[in-house]
Amino acid sequence: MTAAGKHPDLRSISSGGWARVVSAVLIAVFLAIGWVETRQSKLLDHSIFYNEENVSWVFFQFEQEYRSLRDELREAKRYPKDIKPEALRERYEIFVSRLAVMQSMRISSFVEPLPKHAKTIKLIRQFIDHADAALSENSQATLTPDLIVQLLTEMDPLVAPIHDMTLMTTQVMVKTVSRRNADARRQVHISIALTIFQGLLTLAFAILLIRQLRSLEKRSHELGRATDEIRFLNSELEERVRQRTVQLEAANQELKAFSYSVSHDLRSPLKSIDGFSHLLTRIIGDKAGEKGAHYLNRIRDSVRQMGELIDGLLSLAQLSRDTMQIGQVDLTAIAASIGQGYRERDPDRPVNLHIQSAMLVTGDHRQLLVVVQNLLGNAWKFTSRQALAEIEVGSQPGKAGETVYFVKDNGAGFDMTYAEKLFGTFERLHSPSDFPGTGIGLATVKRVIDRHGGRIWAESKPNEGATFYFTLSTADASA
Amino acid sequence: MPMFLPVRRRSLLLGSASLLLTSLVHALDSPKGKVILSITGNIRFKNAGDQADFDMDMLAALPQHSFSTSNPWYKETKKFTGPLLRDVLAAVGAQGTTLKAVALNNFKVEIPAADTQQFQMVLARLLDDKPMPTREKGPLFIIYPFDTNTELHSARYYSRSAWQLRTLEIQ
Repeated sequence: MTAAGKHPDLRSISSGGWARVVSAVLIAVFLAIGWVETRQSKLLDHSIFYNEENVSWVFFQFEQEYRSLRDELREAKRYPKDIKPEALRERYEIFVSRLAVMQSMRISSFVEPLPKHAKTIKLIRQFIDHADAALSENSQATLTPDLIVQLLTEMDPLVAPIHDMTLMTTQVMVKTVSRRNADARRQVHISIALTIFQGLLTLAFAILLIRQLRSLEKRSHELGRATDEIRFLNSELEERVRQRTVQLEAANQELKAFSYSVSHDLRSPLKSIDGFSHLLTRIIGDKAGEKGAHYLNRIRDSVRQMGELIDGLLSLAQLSRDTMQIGQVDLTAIAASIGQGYRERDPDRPVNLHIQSAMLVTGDHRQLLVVVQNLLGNAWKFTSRQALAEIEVGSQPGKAGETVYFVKDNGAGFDMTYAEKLFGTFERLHSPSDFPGTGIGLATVKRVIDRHGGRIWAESKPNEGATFYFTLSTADASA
Repeated sequence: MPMFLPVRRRSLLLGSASLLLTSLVHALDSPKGKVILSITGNIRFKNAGDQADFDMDMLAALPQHSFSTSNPWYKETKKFTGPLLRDVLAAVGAQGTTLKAVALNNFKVEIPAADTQQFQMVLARLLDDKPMPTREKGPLFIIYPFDTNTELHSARYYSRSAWQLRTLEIQ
């Protein structure tokens, strides 16, 4: 509405709010119209029920009958020979019957409020009491001219009061009718005003509805446009993702092929070096001297280390390439089996190995085996200088309610400053002379944990041991 | 017992199906007592020149009907007795659509003839089993059975209930 647009307070009410207000007022107006019309109907009913309009007619008829009787008596007085007693008595009875009607049930309430009527009616009754002896239907009296004159003498003084009564009653009736007409007119005016108001409200309501519909239509149109735009952007994004994925897959494939071919192709010359250096050791034998023998050993150690590096790279490449076979995996059993292997290889080392029972997880058995192998292998390796090695494999609840698995040892540990480098390929925190290794193991472990949707981290202090934690979220581990 | 001569009668225009049937009825005798009702206008059976006159005995000789009803003229319920108005009309072979009822004082009111078929209207000659004197709206009173139909309790039918009836004019 225009008013709503101009007024700052009204503007805050939405058009839906206005529609509610207008419809509430409309209902109130409908009720008011109903009330007014019921009242009008009652006013009319009232008049029909009491038949008040007939009152003046009844009084008029009474006066008329009075005058007719008086005329006939005068006629009888003038022409005594033509007196017809039967007709005269019937006329008298009709007159008397009219008095009863005047006082009958439906008009009594109307007559009573006029005190003067009571006096007049008393006079009429007195006349009837006298006249009955001569004029009643059953009277046997002879209607002599003297009797007629006497009756007329008694009757004449009634003319003025009876006429007065008729006039007063008519006045009362006219006033009543006028008042009722005025009431009805007022009601009609109210009714008309309400109807006009109702019409205006209906119009306002219709305008509000149209405005709302238009606004809805506009919003729906805008929404449609926005949806189209989002759909377009989405498809564009999907296309980009698809392209990137293709590029990424291609790059990955190239990387894998490169890594595999490098590792694989490096094996041949390495085998040659290993084979020929072995032959050279056998041919030269003791002739090589102390220095020569040392160099040959260094060559053979380097070859072995390079072989391990290549094995690690191959394993890493393999893990990245293989599809995962998800199933139930018993980490306890895996850890126990690996631990047993180490004990057999190194039976003299005093190691306390604690493995928590019944650690069942969901994941790829072969890959998780690699994880435990690496973590337990590291623990075994970095505790080699302890008088009594303590290694624990177990699990504990994490902060988010997930299960956190860990491998804990009391070995050499490391400086947390370099913790970020732990899981990078070829990254080593200890020199090969301290602890042998390739620097590929933890990278491989991280790759596996990543593929299982988990996290891996470590806590340690130099010479106070290290704990490696990892989680698994195999529900998502399908990559 | 008033004398009615048997004649074959034709249907009454006002009429119900039963009136359409030919049957044996009595022709109109002449009144012996005081004439209290005259029927004029479109009638076929007459006994006084161009009209039909009735005394009280002639009306009493027609089949009588009674009912008690509340009414606007008396505070209490009253019993009205007399012939059905339609029987009175049939007795004079009335043919018309309107009855003009004229009272002793010449007051006139029109009654649709159809009313006499639709309602059991009685031409009352007894009020609470007594003859009605002129002073008490007698001797004849056309009365509707008000209490049988709420529609009848209205000014329209009250005004059609003519009392002190003297003449019926068939139009």
